[in-house]
Amino acid sequence: MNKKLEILLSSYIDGECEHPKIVEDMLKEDEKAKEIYTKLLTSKQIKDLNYTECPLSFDKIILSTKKEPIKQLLVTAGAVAIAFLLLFPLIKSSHQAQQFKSKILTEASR
Amino acid sequence: MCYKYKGMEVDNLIIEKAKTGDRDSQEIIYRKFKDRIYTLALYYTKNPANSSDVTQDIFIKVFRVLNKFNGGNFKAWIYRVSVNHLLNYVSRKQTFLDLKEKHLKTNDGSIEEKITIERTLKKMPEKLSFLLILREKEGLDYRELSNVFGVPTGTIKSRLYKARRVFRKLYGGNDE
Repeated sequence: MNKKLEILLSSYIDGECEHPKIVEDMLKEDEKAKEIYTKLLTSKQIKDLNYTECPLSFDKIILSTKKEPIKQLLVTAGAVAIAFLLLFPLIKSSHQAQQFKSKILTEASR
Repeated sequence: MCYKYKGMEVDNLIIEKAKTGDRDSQEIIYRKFKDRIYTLALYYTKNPANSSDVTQDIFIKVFRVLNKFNGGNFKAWIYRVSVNHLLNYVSRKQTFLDLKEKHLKTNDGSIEEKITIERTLKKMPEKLSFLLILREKEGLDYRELSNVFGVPTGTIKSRLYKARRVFRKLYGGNDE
């Protein structure tokens, strides 16, 4: 059986088949189609699985929602501090270079 | 545990109020979807503690981006946020859960059967198993699934077929 027909059977299972009558006739007459249809139906068992109760309380979500902006602020502040610490030696050396340059220029102008 | 909102439906009024930060409305949304999202997360995280964290992150995100929801199908929207978050989680962690059998609950049928179904879903590629769960368990139609996964309904149709074949093969069928 070709893939197109199998897709048709799958959509029939979902109740989304555009030509249900064709599929119904095929299932009556074609043993192979019936066999594939039965196999595709295996996934229907997923419906029997139960939900697991979520142990989270709503208050915890709200608390976390409130904490979120503070957390973001702290992360941003931390990132700025780290960036400053990393760039500080560069800024410092650049400043020293500038001072040295000014000193040389002053001496040269004399 | 408080059940004052149990059974209340999430309608447009609730969503609009939740957008303004109304806690009661947000709690109705939370209670409606928490077990569904937590159960979905259980398939893809390593343990219940991780699932709780992921569920918490999803709801924080849901309430943060709720303003972006401009009407339409809320169920599809919330699953889209959840599935995107879970797929990111899976790609970051690259871990599959080892679902403890004690966390499994059953409706009817044997527990072994349920365990086999759970294990089969775990073995499947995430996108296919998400699709199958949202279709079979949550009952989302092709349009809603197309909304969740951001692909045309034709793609959903063929992916569902593929998902069913993979599920059948891993479940124990030898027809592939």
